[in-house]
Amino acid sequence: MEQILLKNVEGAKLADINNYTAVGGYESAKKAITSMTIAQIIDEVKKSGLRGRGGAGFPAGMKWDFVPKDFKGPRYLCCNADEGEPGTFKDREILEKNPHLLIEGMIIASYAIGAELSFIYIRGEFVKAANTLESALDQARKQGFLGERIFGTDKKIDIVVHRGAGAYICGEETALIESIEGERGNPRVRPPFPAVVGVFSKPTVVNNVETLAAVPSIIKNSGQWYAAIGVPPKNTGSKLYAVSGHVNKPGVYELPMGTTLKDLIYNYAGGIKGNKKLKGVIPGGSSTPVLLPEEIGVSMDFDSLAKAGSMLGSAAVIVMDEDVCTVEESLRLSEFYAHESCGQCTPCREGTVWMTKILDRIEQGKGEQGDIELLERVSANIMGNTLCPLGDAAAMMMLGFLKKFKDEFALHIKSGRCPIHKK
Amino acid sequence: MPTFEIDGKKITVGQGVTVLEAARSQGIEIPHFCYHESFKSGGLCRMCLVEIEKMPKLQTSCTTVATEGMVVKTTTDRVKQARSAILEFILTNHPLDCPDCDQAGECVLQEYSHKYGPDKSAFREPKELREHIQLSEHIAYDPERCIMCERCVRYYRDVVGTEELAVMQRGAHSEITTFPGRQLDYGYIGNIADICPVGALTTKDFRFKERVYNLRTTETICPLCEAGCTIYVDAKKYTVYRVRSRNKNLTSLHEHPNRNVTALYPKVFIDAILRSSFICDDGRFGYKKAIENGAIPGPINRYEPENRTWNNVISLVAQKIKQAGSKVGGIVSPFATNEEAYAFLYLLKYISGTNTIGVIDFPGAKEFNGATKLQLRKGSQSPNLKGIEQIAGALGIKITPVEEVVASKPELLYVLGPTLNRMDAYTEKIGGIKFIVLQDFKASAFANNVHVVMPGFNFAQKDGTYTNKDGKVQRIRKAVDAKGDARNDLDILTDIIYNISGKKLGSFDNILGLMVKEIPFFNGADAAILTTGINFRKAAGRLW
Repeated sequence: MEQILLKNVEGAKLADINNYTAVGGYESAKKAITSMTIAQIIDEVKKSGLRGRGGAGFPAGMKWDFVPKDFKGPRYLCCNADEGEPGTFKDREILEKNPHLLIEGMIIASYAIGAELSFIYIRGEFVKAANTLESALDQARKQGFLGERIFGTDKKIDIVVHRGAGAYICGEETALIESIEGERGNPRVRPPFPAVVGVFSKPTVVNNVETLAAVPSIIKNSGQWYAAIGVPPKNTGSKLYAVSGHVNKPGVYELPMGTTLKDLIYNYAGGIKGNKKLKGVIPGGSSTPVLLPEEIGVSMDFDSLAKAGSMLGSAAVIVMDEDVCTVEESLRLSEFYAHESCGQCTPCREGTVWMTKILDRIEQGKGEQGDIELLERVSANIMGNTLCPLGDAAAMMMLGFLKKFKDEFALHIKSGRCPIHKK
Repeated sequence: MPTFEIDGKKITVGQGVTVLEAARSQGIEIPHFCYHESFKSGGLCRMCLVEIEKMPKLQTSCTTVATEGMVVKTTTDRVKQARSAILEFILTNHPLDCPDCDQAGECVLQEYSHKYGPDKSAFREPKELREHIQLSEHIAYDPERCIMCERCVRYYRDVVGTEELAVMQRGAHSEITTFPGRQLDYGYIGNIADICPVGALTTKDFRFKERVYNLRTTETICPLCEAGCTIYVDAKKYTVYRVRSRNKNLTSLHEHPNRNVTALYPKVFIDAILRSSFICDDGRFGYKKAIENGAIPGPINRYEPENRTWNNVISLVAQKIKQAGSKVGGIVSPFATNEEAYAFLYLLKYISGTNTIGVIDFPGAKEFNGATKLQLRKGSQSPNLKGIEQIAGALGIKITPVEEVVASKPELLYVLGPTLNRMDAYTEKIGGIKFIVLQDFKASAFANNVHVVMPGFNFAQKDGTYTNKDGKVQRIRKAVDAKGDARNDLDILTDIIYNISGKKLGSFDNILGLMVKEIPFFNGADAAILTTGINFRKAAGRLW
């Protein structure tokens, strides 16, 4: 497969607009703005089968179509660049090395939903990426691709970079919207959904960086072309897989949707470091349930992973070798969720802390009979009862580890110490 | 007007009504902490989760709008399990210091734990203890008891509009706080203690003073300005311990003492009741002004010091009034009830033949802070000025300043209190008046210089009605007993009238009945205001 998102990124210095236009950059935006109707664009994106790359996998074309057509007044596009899911570093690749591809995608998406102003909500720690984006936006404005009368038409589209302040929860789309508005980044109750009441109470579409970056190629080559890549009809296109952990070659790999996990780990990422045995893999960022070595034949796409009891999520593959203590690993993740819980709703605020305290006890060798059942019960009580998906994420992670590594948890409790770290 | 089903019952509700509100209107209880009718729902506490057909997850009924054909279940095992789970979560870090908590006995968390909670908690980890914080000199905040429902934060955002409170920190460390270095502005602070469903926000006025279950609650009216806000007085025997807005109980309207309230009154009126159910801090913390001790133990007779029984005093006063004829000067306090004012004016008009009356002047009730959306203070600090004006007008009596009554040197000056020290300024000017009678519950410089003092009741000791600035006639009720040999002011007046004329005016409800018949303003003030807490006038919409 020819790379779509990361094509030419090594060495070609695509952050410079001249290099980007030299390889055909902004042609798609021009084509969309000057020769396509909104309906045609949305139709093309729908045909491509492009699904949201942020984690939930919602069809992008359908999301754009939800924006009320008859709404008078501004509507907004937000690019979610608050890449915070532990293990995920795929969007940074685009933001730092191919910012114009994102901007071009955003111009097309803005036009498709009728937005004149769009936001890139970028993770606060991504200082380099934010600077790269700012200068890329300046270049695009100078070229007349952004601002008033873009591409010589009477259309007006501009993009603003909004830097986050370090909260994981702001990657949740409604918290992101609150944060853009200058409020504390707390998730909102849905409904109403952002497509109807979003930024400043106006219809808003929130799309992930990778989703928007895929749009120019769809406009250039047609939706049908994109839909032929990957596992049609529902899991199409290319996908950025961020592989980390105990592998020889960690990194971001752009591969067709549906590449198997085994291929990804042993072929592309060079296998397990030090020829150790594989213990488990988290396939889609810390919230997705862990998989065992015998399950890595799974195809890395939305539906196959769902069938396998996990999720594609952000496709952040965390590889754990035989020396990993899964109690410690789940404790570390649980601490993360407890730390990042916004505290608005009861089950997440209290449940994640409770979970952490139990795990901490077990890891310290102070686990008690019944702790496993208690962890299951606490997780189940969080699951589905929270205001936003953060609580669900913590519970899903926990239930995943308990399901796959129950024996190891039981051994911790029975032996009164961590059997792996031999404390 | 969508029709939907809740627990097997088909109901039709207004457009945009939430499932929780609809359930409440049917007397179906859905437990909740963060929902409050005065501000926007946040779906935060997750206590009100219900099962809705065709929706995979449980939904917060406080944010879900009822739609046509919806099927809601509030008593399934799933719902029960979720409620129990939420309560178990809330109690993980709750100190469970109920024995020492002022809220115990009226705590929503206590009630729900008892009703919906698990019988034991599996939480075995050490609890995180936190120190209490003073949000203002009047309000203490105990973060460890706080369940983060954010009602107080939303109250300051949506009702007061000053956004003085916010959530700081994150997750389990979250707490409510003011801007660093600032405290809450005095004015409408106290309401947050009422709307707090747990013991996290308590007033200094009441903190650690008395267990709520030892107190008797009386629905009455705040006497500290002409707005006439509805209040609860919580008291034990002789002592008032606390004044509250009626807001708290109204958070569950179906639990209101007047249970069929929702059936009786249309929603607009209930909304108005709820909005008006906050009170100001002067009313909440300043009630002591109107009931202060220093009571007069029994009748004082400086004219005939040996005759000090009530009978002696009343016949003396009656005899003096008869002698003075139309040269009786009357002064009335705007703290007197409509019934007392009527009896007093009846005495002046029909027995003495006096055509003027002085009304004691109380200063204006100023708003605390112009920036607040909530502005409850009205007129002067005279709870019944409007009522007295109406009755005087109907009887053809002219209201004049107190100075003029004093300066006219009447043969006999009759002052109907409570004067609350506002007559002290005239102590020097009353020399030369041959006979001065005062009815008051409290000693004052003025009381030391009159011939007869007949100790009466304060507003918390008696029954009657007040008319507020908007013309709503509202009921005040006896909340505490009076100590010593004081008597109900109305009884004193009717006794004097009986003594002179043989006319029996009767008790306060007889007199109210008389006024309803004789004074057009009171038309329609029927039994409703005597029996219900929320007084509502069907005809003119004037009576509450």
